[in-house]
Amino acid sequence: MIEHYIAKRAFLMGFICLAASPLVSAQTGSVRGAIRFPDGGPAAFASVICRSANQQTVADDRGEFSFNSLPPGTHRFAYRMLGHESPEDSVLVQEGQTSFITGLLDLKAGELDEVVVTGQSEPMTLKNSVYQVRTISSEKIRLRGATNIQTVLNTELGIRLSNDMALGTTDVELLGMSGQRVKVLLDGIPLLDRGEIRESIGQIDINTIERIEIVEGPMSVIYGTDALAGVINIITKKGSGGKSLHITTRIQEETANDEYAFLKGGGVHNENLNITFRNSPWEVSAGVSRNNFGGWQGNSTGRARSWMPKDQLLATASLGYRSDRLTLWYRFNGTDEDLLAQGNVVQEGTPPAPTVTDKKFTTWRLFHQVQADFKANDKLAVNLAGSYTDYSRKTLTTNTNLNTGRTTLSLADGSQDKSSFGSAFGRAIVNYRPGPSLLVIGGLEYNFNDATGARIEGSPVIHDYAAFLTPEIRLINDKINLRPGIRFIHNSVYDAPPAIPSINAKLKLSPKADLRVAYAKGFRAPTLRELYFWFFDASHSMKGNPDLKAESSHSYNAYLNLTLAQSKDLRLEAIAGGFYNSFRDFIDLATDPGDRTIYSYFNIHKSKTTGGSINTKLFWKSFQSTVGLQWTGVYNELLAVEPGLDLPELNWTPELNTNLIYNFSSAGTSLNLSYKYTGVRPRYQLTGNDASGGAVLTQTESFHMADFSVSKIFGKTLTVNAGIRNLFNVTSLTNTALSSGTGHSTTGPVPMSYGRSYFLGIQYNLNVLQ
Amino acid sequence: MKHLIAKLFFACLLVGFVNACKEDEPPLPDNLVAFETDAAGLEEDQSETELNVILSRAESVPVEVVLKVAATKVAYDQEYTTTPAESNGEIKLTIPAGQTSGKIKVSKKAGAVLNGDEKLNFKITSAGSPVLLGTKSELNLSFSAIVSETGSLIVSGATDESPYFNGVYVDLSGNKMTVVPRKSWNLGFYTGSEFRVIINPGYQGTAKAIDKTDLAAVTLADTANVELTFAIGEGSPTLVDDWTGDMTKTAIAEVSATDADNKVHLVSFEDGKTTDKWFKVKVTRNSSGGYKVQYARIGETAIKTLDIPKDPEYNFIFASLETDKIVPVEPRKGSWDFQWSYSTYNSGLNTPYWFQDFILINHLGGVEAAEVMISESVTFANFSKSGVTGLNFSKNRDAIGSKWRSGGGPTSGPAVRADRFYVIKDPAGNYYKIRFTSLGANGQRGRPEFEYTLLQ
Repeated sequence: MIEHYIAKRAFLMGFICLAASPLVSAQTGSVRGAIRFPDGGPAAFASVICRSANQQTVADDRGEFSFNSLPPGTHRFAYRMLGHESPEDSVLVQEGQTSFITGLLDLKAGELDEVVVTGQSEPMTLKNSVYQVRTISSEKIRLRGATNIQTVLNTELGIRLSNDMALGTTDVELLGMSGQRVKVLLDGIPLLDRGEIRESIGQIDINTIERIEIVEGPMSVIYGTDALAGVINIITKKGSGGKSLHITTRIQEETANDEYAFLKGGGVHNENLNITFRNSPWEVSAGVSRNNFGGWQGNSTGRARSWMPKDQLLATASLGYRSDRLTLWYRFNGTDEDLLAQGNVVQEGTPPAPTVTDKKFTTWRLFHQVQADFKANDKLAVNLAGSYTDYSRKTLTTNTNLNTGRTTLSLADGSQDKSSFGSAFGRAIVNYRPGPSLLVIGGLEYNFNDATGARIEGSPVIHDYAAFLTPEIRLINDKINLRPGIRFIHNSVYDAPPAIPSINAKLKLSPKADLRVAYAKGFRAPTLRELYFWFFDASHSMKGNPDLKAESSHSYNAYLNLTLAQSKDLRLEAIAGGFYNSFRDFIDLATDPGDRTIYSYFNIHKSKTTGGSINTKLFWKSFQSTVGLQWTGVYNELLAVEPGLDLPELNWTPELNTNLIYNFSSAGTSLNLSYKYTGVRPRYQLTGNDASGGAVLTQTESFHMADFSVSKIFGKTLTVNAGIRNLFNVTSLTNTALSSGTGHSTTGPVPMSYGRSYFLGIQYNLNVLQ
Repeated sequence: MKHLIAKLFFACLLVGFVNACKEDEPPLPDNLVAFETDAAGLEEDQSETELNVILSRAESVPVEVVLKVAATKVAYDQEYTTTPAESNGEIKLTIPAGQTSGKIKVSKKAGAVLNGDEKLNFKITSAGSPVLLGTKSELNLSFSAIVSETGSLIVSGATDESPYFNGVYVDLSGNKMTVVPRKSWNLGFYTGSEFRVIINPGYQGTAKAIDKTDLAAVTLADTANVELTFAIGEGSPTLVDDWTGDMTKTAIAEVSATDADNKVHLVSFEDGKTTDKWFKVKVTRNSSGGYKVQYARIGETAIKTLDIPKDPEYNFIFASLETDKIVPVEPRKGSWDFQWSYSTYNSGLNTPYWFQDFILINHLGGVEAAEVMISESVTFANFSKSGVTGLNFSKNRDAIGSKWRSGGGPTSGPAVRADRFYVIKDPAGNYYKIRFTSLGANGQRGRPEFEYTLLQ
């Protein structure tokens, strides 16, 4: 309590100090302005950026704005609003005087002007990137009222979430590949996960995210291991110059199906506070978020809950320095997550007493990253990135005697456990541009991983060294962009593939048509668990295999981007494409031929995925929509084991999604509908113990996911979000797979969600200094 | 500058706040000291007996336990002595660090005249910190045989090394248990009229005959195409002894009187699964009505021989091929009712696998068991002798087997099935109702608890 009090006092003192600085000094002038849409209506709540003075503000509900302390001289202003853009305006500011300006905000030429960084040496517009990149903007994240990244990914094509009820984790599948074959990056730096599940994606504070970039296909030349199916790069918010103190707070309450209690217990409770102070060239920021989920009972009875209660505390802190030539960032992400598995009452002991056994899983992640960009001159730039992750997961099991109320630690095998993982990462990239048509990008990378824990043999350490080179060549007046690349790897434990090549090309067929074609070899290094797993007891005999080699893939894709219509208030784009990936040496558990009672990991499977998609984007006045259609075919893995069976080679699943946004600009209100249909997922399964009985088709049923939300801005500072998630109330999917009869049966209904829920959130933004 | 400091302070506070949220862990459960049983008998033909004093779990320091002895119609050093020695009516027993039990040996003095109505009462009065006294802190030792009417026992299956280290033989009427390390034997030789050999089901024993009779001629090459290890769901039931205890279905063929008909068997155990560690075994009958077993590891050349007599007081005579001798395992066949152990079982696919906490009844000693499902009218408490007549008793060795506990799964641990109990007919024809009350206190596997009552 005392700490809280001191914090409040210190915070208040800081607040007063800042607020007391003079707003207009004698050496500055002011600008007042109004922004209009082409039809003359006020562009309420548009952002106004004064690039020349590194300042920005937000217009009020009449579209009016002002800057009060600009140094004398000519200043340039730009206006921003989702789906719109403006030319820059200039105005002369004189000492002690106020200048007036009227801005025009026009419909945006298209999202291709969005900036992406994945795979690039520096931020670049989507239209110029040689990679086919999908982005999810902070605006979309905000409109959906999301409290975690999974909610946002849930309606993306090619992405499927899978939930493990026993572990309380959610994994992300991309193009039919599970999370261990998807690379997850935070600002281009890999996030550590303890096992095959990409838990990390749910342990990043969504309030700090600027956008999410998704690239399908391996980007192994630049990002190394794991990116077989693709890369999900989470980009955090970063400020730009000026002097400001920005405070954001957010409170959101959400039901979990029919369960809800205010602030604590049933439902989802999210609170966030973020403070950013900028005084060019410095920026310092700190934030904290609490994500509390009370779990959901579902089909469980008694104390047990199908969806485990989860409590997350996410802390971020950053310090940045930005000048013309040098940008330096330190960023800290801390995660403290508790998952609680509640047991039912059992009669235990002599004489029997009612007793409950509860398990608490605590994840602790400290992620430090440092990034530096140095621009020596127009030809040479250097980017340095480093990170260190300290990660642990602890299992605490307790028994409580309900007669005495006494809680003590369980003595069961494995009931008290702590696994620790450490990871260090360093990467240096040099960009050298000898002429306008050539950019040479070369880099060195080092990775260090170690682990200790009850189910890990010894204290293994892995060192990984890599060097890569990927020049970008522009030919025929920039009509062709070619980007070949190669990566060389040396690993201290397993035999890494000697060289990983790739080539990406972008052809500008016309001003309205771009074609992107890519080939890449990808690989996934065996994980620490696959190399050093160790679990022997009465009913398990499993161990890792240090002789594993990397999984590898050949990936091909092509995408055609077309602008079908473009006028003053209409723009229609379409992207059509296809992909083909073949994989070999997939690592899986199998009986050890040397000792048939032991399970171990071996390079046994081949696999492939292929598919095609069509995506359209429509911008029409204040309406934006995207509609996408995709078919994904995933290799029938039964054929890898039983090649003699007469079965289709690929199992196909169709997907359809749409995202609709309508802005009532004058009312500051936006409506958002996100919808996705996922078709039946087929799978073949042996009817007996061997191939003699043939195979049978089993299916996971199709489902519809839809979220609807309304967002309204009041004044300059207050935003209210309300909505419904999972409109179709999907909780689990039926699965016709046969029961396998062994200990860990994976058949039965597939859990998807805790069902339809309602949310209401308030966000308060305060710009203390401008 | 002030505001920057305030900012940094606040940022630090946030990180501190995250740290401050760490809760204290709950304490370990109490470590209790208690007698294994509360009543024991020192029979007329026995000269001494051992009383076990058990800790809930091992401590890292030696634990001194003080016991008070009250004697009725006997006196120390005249009719009996104890180890550790009694002094002023007290015994000080030290349980060494890392151990979970200590023993008090009570011996009759040579030449002492006893009528059978003499008694000793032992009472634990204190134990070294942090150990506390458990509920069974008193034991009555009678200088005669006892027929226990009711009681509860904790099976000492676990050691510090493993939660299924021991096989434990339980004698309900004698209120006592016999603890034997499960890996202490390899082969058991039947004492009945047939010549049959069993392989240790609690040591993952598997065996297969090969088409050779000359042990010396068997080499590593003979292991080709012989699969003695297998994954769950894959093994053949013929590689192990029948899990129902049918003595005509042993993995090793019946020992023929004609030496030349007895084939060499390859035998594998848990601690020697690579083919060079397998045993090659040939069993024949010896001239004195017993067995002769010749054996060696396949990777070794010296062939060893053991002669095994038949002793009808026991179901089997057991031998260890690893220590090359006959070893005591089962109590006399009339002196035990069931065994708790790791054992071969039917995995559910009619293939053998191994199960922790298996209950095997002494079916060769005449024990039978029946399962009773609890209903509104039938409870453990109200079940009486009259209920026995309607029960369907099984003489199979796995009559209780794995049925008394559930296996657990991804979201739950194994647990005692509280919806049932068992009725056991012991070798003397007594009926006991018995129910398991815990798989092990506080989740500690290998220390299951049960209670029982004589039906009369």
